Amino acid sequence: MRLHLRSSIATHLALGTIGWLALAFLLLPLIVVIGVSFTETPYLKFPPQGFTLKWYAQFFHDTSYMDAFWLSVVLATSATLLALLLGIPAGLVVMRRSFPGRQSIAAIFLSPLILPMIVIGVALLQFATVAGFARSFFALLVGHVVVVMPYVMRTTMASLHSFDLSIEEAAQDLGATSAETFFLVTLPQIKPGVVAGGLFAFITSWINVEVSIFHSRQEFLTLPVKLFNYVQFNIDPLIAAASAVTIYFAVLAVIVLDMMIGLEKATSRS
Amino acid sequence: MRIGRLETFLLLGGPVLFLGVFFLVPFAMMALASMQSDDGTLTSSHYVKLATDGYYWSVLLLTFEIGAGVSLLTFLLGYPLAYYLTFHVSSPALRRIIYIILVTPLFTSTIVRAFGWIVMLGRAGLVNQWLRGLGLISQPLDLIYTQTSIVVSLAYTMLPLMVLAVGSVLQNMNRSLLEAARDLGANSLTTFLKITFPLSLPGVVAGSLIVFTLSVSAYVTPSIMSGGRHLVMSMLIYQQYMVLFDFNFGAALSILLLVMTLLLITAYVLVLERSGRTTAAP
Amino acid sequence: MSDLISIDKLVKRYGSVVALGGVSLNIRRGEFLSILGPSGCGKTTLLRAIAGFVEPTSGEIRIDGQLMNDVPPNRRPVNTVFQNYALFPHMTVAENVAFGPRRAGMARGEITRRIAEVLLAVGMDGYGDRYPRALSGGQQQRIALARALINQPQVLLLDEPLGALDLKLRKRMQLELKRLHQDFALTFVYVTHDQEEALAMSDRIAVMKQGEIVQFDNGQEIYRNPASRYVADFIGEANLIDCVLDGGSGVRLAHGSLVLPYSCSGSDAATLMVRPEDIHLGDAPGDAAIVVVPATVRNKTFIGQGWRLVIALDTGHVISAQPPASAAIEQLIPGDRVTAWWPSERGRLLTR
Repeated sequence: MRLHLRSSIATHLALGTIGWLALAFLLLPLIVVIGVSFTETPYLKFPPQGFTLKWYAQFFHDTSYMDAFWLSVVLATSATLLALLLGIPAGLVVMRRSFPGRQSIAAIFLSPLILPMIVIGVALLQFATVAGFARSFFALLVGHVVVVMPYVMRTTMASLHSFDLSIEEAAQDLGATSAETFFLVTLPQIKPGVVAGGLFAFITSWINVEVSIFHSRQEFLTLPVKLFNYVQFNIDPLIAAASAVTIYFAVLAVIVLDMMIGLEKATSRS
Repeated sequence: MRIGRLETFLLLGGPVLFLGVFFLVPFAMMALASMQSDDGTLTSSHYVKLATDGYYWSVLLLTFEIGAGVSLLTFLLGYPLAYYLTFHVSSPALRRIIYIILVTPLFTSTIVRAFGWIVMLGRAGLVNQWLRGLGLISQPLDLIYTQTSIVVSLAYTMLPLMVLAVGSVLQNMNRSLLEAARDLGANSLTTFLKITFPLSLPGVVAGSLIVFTLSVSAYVTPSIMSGGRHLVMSMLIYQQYMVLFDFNFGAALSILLLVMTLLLITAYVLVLERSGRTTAAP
Repeated sequence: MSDLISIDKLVKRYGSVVALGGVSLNIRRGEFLSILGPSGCGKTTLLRAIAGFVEPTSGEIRIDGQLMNDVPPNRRPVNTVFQNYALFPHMTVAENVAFGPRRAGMARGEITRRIAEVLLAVGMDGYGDRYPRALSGGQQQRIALARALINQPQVLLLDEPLGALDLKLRKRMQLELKRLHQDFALTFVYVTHDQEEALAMSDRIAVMKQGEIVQFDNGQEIYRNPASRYVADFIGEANLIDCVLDGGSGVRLAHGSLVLPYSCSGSDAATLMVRPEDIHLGDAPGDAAIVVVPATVRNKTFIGQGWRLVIALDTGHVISAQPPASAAIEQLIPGDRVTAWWPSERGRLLTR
């Protein structure tokens, strides 16, 4: 959607410069971390000296890192599944049926998106302590679901927003029950939105620190929390390798999201 | 698809129950705790302490200063980038690349992003290594553990959000308004100052509020980049819960942060509604 | 009794808005019925009530004697052709058409056979593997038809299906629909705002106004004997000339002294309706059963099959005339004096 204004070359160059500086700014820390993860020196060096994968090898052989890695994966997967089970019906009902308090319920369901995550974390800590399940997988899971469900609900609602209802009526007219209509006609149509929501949910859980730190124990850490603990004491290429792995994950997720529904569409608020 | 009463009940029941138990109840509990003393009696002492002890005001002030600094920095960097992306990038391939660069950092953990800044600015970090290697300094500079470093690394985290918020408004702007301005004799700069920028303000406000709200409640980045020398609200809350085990005072602090956030959001919604009437929609 | 659908005092209210104000209608088996009216008159609401998408506030709908009020759309023996076709975008043409039979549990082989049959009937054989987005509007429309017809419903409901098509295509599809109606021996309930379309295709027409049926009859009757000014104006072209009572029950044109050979009783004002094609210009035959009024030509437009003239009667009324073409008509120019006349039985006196 290019505007065909004949801006002067100077404007174009100036904007381009700032633009690309900003983009370089965005890439710099990530590139540095990835670069440092290949250095042969036992301390951080950029540009890296030599090239080695030994830090990655160490990372993948380190039991505590691998435990944290798999915990994060399992947690993110479970949280996403639960978020889908809760978020899709919620989005569906809010968009399709008007009932008293609909706006308020929608606002409350979506509020974790904008509320301070740390406050959500401590509130849950308090509740879990009283209820007796603090520092357990269940507490982690519950906290993550609260935080990531809005992403699923939001994209589901966006998909349903511009939805042509007459195809659902057509399905019913042709003899489909409500359930058949949903699975055969509605769901295929909102699938891109649901998938995007699921992806956002997964990533949000995968990278989360602010809720996880309140429910972790020494032997029971997610990967981001483990990194958070270590970074405060020493920084070495091993942590760089661990961090780099998460960056590769992020790039993969971004590319998958872009291929599925396009980043521009996924991040637009219209 | 007619969603009858029964279906509404069944579909909404799960989410309502779940969030009710694991979201609303904990908040209610926290609100209650903020008004309780250790033995369970009701008291307003925590809030009184907050209101009267200057120390907490200073923490709040620092938190807000940082938030404002981050909003400003992301605006200065982000608006030009959003404008550039919307109006000066026509190749779809290039657009995709830019979006990938924008979104990838958002998909990495804040700790990884903060680590990147430590690697660059830390005492044993790269900038210091270079400067020492070049013989320009003999002792490592304290680049991190300053308020500026907190602002810069938070701005790094928030920049994509500002760009997306502003970019979204610029994308959907009614092009014919801009063309009309040119048709009536305005040059590029005038068109921008008098038409484009004012019309993009809702996006700027939205972006600034999102950035400010998230900055004010951020924990990981300030915690890492402050080195313990600066304290923001979220760090204070963490301390109360995990170091001092004072759940009640921590709750009061949390409620304070929560209320501030809600006020900001309300302000955002009001501004949005008001500007919605003056924005020329296509 | 060959009433397939009987609708009894159907009312639908949305808050304080009355969409249907007590509609009663009997639809005969095998007929082609049109529900005609301008937008907002309730015709679509009525159709959707038969389909089951609108829950009546009160009143009954029976199909083949069975009460349908509590029966959901997916269990009614009707199928709908939607205004925007509503084809499932993520399914091929064949999958779209197979949808209904699949829900009914029909065997695969039987479904395949029927799909081929019905696609042939609508002229879309061979299109089974295409997706709706690859089809033109007219083609999508035929698929929507096929998708409904394959279920052999007792009633086919059509909601302004030809609205989005251009004129030529519309006329062609009208013929196709008539043919399908006959070939499949179905009952069609057809909603439209196009009176020409309704007249061309229907056995009977229900004319609606603001939630009520104001006339229900075959096309010729409605055209010749409209029940009210509204119907006269809506169907075909009509000149509506105000008249006043002339003592007793006689009637004359307002502002004039001409007494008309019509009688009316029980109302103070009446309107005379005459269709432009019934108005002749020129020397009137010496027949008692005609109405003669002197007039002046205002303007003249060539419309292909003849001329349309706007004339001002000496009484002040301005009307349209579309007389049979002749050399004399061709030579008329604005300002000329003419004699307008029409057979009195071609005029209708309307009191509503």
